[in-house]
Parts: sequence; structure tokens; C-alpha cells
Amino acid sequence: MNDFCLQTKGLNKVYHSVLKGDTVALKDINLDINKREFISIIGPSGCGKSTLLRILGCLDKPTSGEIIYQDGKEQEMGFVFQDSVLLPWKNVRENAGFPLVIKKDKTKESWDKLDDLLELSGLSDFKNSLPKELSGGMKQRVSIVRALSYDAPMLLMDEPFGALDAITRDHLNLELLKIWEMTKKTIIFVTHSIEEAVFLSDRVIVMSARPGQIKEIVEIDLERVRKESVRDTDKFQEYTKYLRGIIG
Amino acid sequence: MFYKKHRKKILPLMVIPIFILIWELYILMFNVEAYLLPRPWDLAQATFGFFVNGDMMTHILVTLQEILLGTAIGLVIGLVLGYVLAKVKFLERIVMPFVIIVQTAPKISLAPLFILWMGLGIASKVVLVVLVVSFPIMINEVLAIRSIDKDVYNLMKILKSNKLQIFMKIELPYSLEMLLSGIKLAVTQAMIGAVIGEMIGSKAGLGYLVVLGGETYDINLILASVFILSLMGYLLYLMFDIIEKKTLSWKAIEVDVIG
Repeated sequence: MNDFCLQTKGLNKVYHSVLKGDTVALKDINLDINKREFISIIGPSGCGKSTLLRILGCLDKPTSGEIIYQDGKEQEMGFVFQDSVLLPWKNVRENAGFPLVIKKDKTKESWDKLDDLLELSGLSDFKNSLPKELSGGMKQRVSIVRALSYDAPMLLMDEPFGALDAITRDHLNLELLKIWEMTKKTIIFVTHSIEEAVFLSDRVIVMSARPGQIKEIVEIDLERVRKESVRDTDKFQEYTKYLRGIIG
Repeated sequence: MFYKKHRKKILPLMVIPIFILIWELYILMFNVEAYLLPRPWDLAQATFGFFVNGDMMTHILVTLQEILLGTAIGLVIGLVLGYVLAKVKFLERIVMPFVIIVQTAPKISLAPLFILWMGLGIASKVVLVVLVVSFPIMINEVLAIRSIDKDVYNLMKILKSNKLQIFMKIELPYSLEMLLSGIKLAVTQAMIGAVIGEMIGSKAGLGYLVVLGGETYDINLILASVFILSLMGYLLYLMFDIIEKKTLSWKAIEVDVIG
């Protein structure tokens, strides 16, 4: 199939501990993720959803199993952490363009694209601001632009809006969808908010804890180009109710 | 208007005339002998004399040289050792206990040893200053590297950066940050090291003058040296404070001892 972005086969993650015995963090994770799909991973805390994302991002190694990326081992991807982890001595534009510096990409094209992204996320007026002058939501915007700056086809997000207030969060959800529709990335999004998962995703992966495994994959069949008003529809409510039910 | 704008500077400066006045009055009221405490004006004249007729300037330069040279070498050594210890975990485990032992021992007490080994010249004081400066810098460097958010390293990993890039783009800036905020305190420590070294055994320097003044009952010489030392320390602190504020302007402002 031409359209696949990432596939996992029988991923397991076991933490060995002499004192407490082995902890199975992930058990038999099989995933098929298509290109340009928006996937959310949701589950109770401690279900290993962050671990799974870190493994998908090659920040952690699975104990067994394999991951196949569309571009092979050298898969480029962006990662958005729970904290924005901006470098405090760099201004917004330098922080957002940091990956380009690391990848020694000096082309005007890439930097113009960066400016477009900054524009799209409403950061144009803050290009020269330092992280200490930004609010939490702004910082996270910068960190998303940074993850997008080098145009990796895949974007992994680890509870990126978890530390933000509800209003900022809804706002950033909309912006993220806008960016997703424009850039056509595959996004894998870890969250603990059911509403957020339903609002954003094509599919929601529900995980259960101890051992962390996939409980169900729920297809979210809501109209695309979602607007704020989607949240008020009966279908939306049904999805959240259903998901709340299986997460328990 | 002028007062309001410069109040922060004017108020502390006003303390000086008041201090001199109390000093003068104290001598007049209690008839203090001049060999115990000179009158401010006499001290000022004597100090001026040390500069014009004596070689006060050479002594100042000797002490300053010891401080700056020792601090510079100490910073480099502390930084390199700290970085290595922070990166090589097992080395840290072996070395750290000894570091703490040496750190808790008053390093000043090693002064006679260095003077014995290296003589009365500038070298023994420089080594003492290096010792005083490098330990705190080393420990701060270990902490600075350790305190880098692990997600910063994860970010670098996601970006497929190499080790040199991690060093140049992340670890070096964080080290410089620590260095620039630590250098102020290091330099004050360095002064103590240099002066005590000089007091124990030397042929020149402000610490030497203090001891010489004590031995020859020259109260003017002692007080002049002490004042110059304080002034020197204050100016060094101020200088590095300004450098810090200029270079670390991106940092959230912290409460400072001297505003």
C-alpha cells in the first residue's frame, strides 16, 4: 500500500527491576498509520501512551517488536514535547529555525517557509521576542513551528497542550487543525483529554493500563475542516460518551 | 527630577559623607590617638602620598595580576573538569567524594604549602587563587550540565544532531550562562585567596602592605590598603555584573545583592 506512513509489529516494552519485578509498559502493540492521518492516543495515566510515542520517535527502544517507517530507518520526524523546551537565549525565530541550523539548511526557501509558518501561528509580531517574554501558549506555538520547520512528514506530539488552560487549549486545537490541513502531515497526538482527541482525530487509539495495550481503535467520522461548532453536535457528544465508557 | 532619576545612586553616596563625619566626630570626642585611628583627611593625604612617593601602584598591579590570572586559569580548569565529570558518570562517582573532601577543607590553609613550594613570588598566589576559583566553578558546571532538560537532548536526538552540535549549541551556552553568573562570586573569592597568600608570605601586593603596616605600626598603610582592596573588589564585581547583564539579557531577571 502506497499510503502507509508507519507500521508497528508486536511492540513490547518491559522495564526490568530487581526489586519490584518486571513491569510490562507496552504489550503487543500493532499499529497501521496512514499518511496524512491524524491519530490520537488516549488512555489513563500510566498506560504507556507516552512511552509508545517515544518509541515511535526513536527516543526509546522497544524490548521487542519492530517499527517500519515509510522512509525507512532515516525517517525524519518532528516531536513536540509537553514543555516547549525553547532555548532561552534564542528569540522566537531563532528557536523555530533551530532545526534548520542543525541540519545546515540555509536555503531561502526553507527560511521563507518558516516565516510563513510563524505567520500562520500568529507569531509574526513576536519574531524577535525572547522565550521569557512569551506566555505558555505562545511558547508551545513556537515549539510546534519548530517541529514543522524542517518539513518532516510525521509529527509526534506528547500532550503538547496538557499544561495550558482550557481556552488557550481550544484555540491551539483549532490552529493545529489548520496547520495540519495546510501541511498535510501525519500527526500522532498523545493526550488525556477525550474532547481534544475527538475534536482533532481521524482515529483515536484507546489504551488500557498495566499492561499497556490497545483496547480499541475508534474511527471518528465527523466532517473535515472542523470548526468550533462541531463540539456542540450530537455526534461529537456521542463519541465522547462512548470513549469515556471504554476508558472507564 | 534629577534626584528622582538617580535616587538609586545618590542615596548610597550620601552615606559616605555621613560616615566620614561620624569618624571625625568620634576622634574629636574621644581624643583617639593618631596611631590608632587617623583623621579622614590625614589618611587621604597619606594615601595620596603612597601613590605619589611610594609604589602603591605596583602593589595594586601585583594583586590585580594575581587575581585576574588566577581567576582566568581557575575558570578554564573548573569548566573543563566540571564538564568531564558531568559527562563521564563513573569518573564522577570515583572523584566526587575526594572533591568534596578538598572542597570542605579551607583551601586557604594550603597557602603556606604553596609558598614553600613556589616561593614568595606571584606564582604561589596564582596557584592559590586557581584552587579557590576552580572548585566552585567545577561543581557549578557539573550542575549546569546536569540541569539541562532531558527533552533538550531528546530534541537534539530527533533532529539527528551530532555530538559536536550538542556541545556547541546546547552545552556550551548553558556553561557560559553558569560561568557569567558565577564569575562575580569567583572573583571575590579570588581576592581573598590572593590577599591571604600575600599576607602569609610575599614581597609585594596589597596583602603584603597590610602586613607591613601591621609590623611597622603604620595605621595609614593598613587602612589605605584595605580601602583600596575593598574598592578593587567592588569595581571587579561591578564590572562582571555589567558584563553579565549585557550578555545574559535573555535571562529572567534575578534578585541581586548589588542592584
